Amino acid sequence: MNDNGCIHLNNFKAAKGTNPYKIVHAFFVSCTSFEARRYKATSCLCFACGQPGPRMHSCLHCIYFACYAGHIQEHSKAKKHFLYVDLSYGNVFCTQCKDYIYDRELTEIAMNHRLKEAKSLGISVPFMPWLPNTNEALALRRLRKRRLIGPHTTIGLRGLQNLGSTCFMNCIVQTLIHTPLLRDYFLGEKHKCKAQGTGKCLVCEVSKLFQEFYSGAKTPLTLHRLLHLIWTHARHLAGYEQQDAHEFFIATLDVLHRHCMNGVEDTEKKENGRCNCIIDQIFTGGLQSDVVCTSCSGVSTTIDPFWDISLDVAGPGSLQACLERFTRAEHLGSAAKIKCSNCRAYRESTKQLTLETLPIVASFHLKRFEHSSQIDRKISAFVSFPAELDMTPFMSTHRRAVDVGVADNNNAPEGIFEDNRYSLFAVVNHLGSLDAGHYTAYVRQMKGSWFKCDDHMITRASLREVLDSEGYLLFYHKTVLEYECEVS
Amino acid sequence: MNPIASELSMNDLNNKFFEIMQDEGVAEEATNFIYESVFDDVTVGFLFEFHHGLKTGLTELIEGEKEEEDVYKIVNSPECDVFGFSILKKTPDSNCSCPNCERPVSATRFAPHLEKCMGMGRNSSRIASRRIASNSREPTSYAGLLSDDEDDADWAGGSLQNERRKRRIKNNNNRKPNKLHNGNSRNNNGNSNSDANDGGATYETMTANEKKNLLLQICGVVSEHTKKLCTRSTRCPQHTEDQRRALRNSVLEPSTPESASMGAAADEAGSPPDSSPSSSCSSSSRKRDRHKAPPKINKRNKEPANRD
Repeated sequence: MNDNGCIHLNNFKAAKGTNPYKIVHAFFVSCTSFEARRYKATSCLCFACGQPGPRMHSCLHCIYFACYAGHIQEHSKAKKHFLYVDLSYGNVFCTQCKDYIYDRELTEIAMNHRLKEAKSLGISVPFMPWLPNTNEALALRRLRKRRLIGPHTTIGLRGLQNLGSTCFMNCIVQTLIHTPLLRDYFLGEKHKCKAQGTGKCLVCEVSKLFQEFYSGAKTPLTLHRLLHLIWTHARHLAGYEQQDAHEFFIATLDVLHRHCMNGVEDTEKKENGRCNCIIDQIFTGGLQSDVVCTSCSGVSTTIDPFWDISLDVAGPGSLQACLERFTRAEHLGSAAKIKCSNCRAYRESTKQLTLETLPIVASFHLKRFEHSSQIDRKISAFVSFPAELDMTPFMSTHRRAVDVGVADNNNAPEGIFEDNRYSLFAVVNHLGSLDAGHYTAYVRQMKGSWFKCDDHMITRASLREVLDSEGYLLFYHKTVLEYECEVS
Repeated sequence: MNPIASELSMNDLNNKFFEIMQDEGVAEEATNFIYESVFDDVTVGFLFEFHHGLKTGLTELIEGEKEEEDVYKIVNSPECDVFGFSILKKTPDSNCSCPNCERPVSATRFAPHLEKCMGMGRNSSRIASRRIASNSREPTSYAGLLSDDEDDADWAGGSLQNERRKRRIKNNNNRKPNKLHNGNSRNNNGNSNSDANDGGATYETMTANEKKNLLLQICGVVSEHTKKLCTRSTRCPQHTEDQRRALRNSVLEPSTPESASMGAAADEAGSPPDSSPSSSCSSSSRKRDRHKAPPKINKRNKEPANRD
């Protein structure tokens, strides 16, 4: 690709370097500090006509602000200054070439400033289109064929052979393969592994699986190595009989999480004491537990990480109702007094669970299997679940706001601008009875495009069909992703 | 910090702003202006992206050549799955190579094979117990051996003192799944039978005669994973003759140096052992492995870092 600017810009850079651009950009395009924002707010007016536009530019030679409606052109003629930075996006206009020109070095400065700007404002990083580096550009030129994933292609779909009652595994694998962010991670070849090629790393095995799913091959895959790896590393899963998909899901995440560390140096493993492996980045949320003493109203708060939320299904008829009940304050009663550190005595208390941080993938487990000493039974009660779910009402911040009664006012509680919408992307169903059951999964390949995975058989499904299914494990993906800044 | 090089200070601007906005007409004009500015900005942003792609050749580079798509087209037919395979026909079975024993196994029977091959599984112990029980020539005398340690009435009794000296292995109850994640206090589904140790035999509770009889019938090598005896035939292919010989040496002959030294160690520690069965047994390196604490997940996690 050609992003070497133009002869005029290159001459300018040779004479004055990139500093003039950096200064204009940091103060008047992407303000990297509070001071810069003040400058920008008060001074971005055309020096010729005093107007704030249209399309303000700054002369790169002498910091002269002018609008595109004739005044940069005038300045250019009068002063023989050719280069102008547009103050909205930071692109450079060359009056000699009569066009905007693109220079890799300046583009990178601009991107860096945009990150700093987001960081100084405390907002998520804005969308920036992908800019391939030199190696990536070379690869793109060498390999011209592009595989497109559309709603009518089988690419990304693959049946999975049943290895003898292993439908529980097939369903979980289908779910993981169709987790959008996990797909991006693996197809982007982000897993760098020290144990590569030894056949001992489950993450490498999953990485291979993604290649298989997107290879275009149509025959069912046999996941014998995967099963062996998981059983080797999660021995408690033991036998295959009566294997539970939920248990398998959690165990698989655990093994993946442990193996993610294979390729990571000890020093980078933990950042602020938290694991930042891809599994934890995608699946881990924080569950807040508030225990309130009924005598002194003292609150004891703990936050625990979670990978999924198990919900009772007896009673409520919808996922939202289940979640509402899950996050409702519960009186612990006189039989379960807890020692209050404030009163220094055992007191009755209430306990409330709320979601302190949301994971990118919210996994819900409907407790359809009941085991007691008397009876084991499956609860087939209908629980409706939506295609789009807003998690805001179940957040710790929101619950607190409701309790003090400000939620209905315009006094926005903290985090009101956060987007907590989630989209359903996979549903695992258990069919049949406790002893003779079968698991199938519905997965979303892309928006509006659903498929039913029944071991080796993949068939089209409608959203209606998915929403009407019983539901055992429900997987939601955050609709809008926010990215943290990583400023060098 | 020098004052801002502009005619108005921030404060002046603020005051002026509220003054001017008192006028409804002005406010409306300002609203329109802001809307149009934002609209223009967004539009220009889109044009810049497009222009950048065309001018630098990035668009052309990324688009490349479209792959032939027809081969991958989803088949829309009620009789077929998306790949065009009949939904009535069974998929042909294939063989896969077992990663554990490297033998070819039919794919559709791989999971049951692997379970046995790895010598694990919730049921393998039960199957093993049953096999031991049914193979036994004196079933009644074995009945007690197949019970859980926990309710072993003979545990604290003196009759087993001698046997305990030769104890090499311990079949304990640590088979509980590593429950890591809370949020679900306890998942109660499909595995109610998993936690209870449903009866694996151990050599330590058998008399010399019983052991001798048993080892005439079964392989008897102790699994590294489950700490249970292999109940296959004395010529089972999973264990080597050497393993079997070693096992028999240590179990049947108390005079071997290994078992003697272990017996001495147990004596030094003082007997009878305390109430906790697991703490009294000679610890092998294998056993320590099984006590590894599950990895702890770290608290809190947010969005992924910028992936570029």
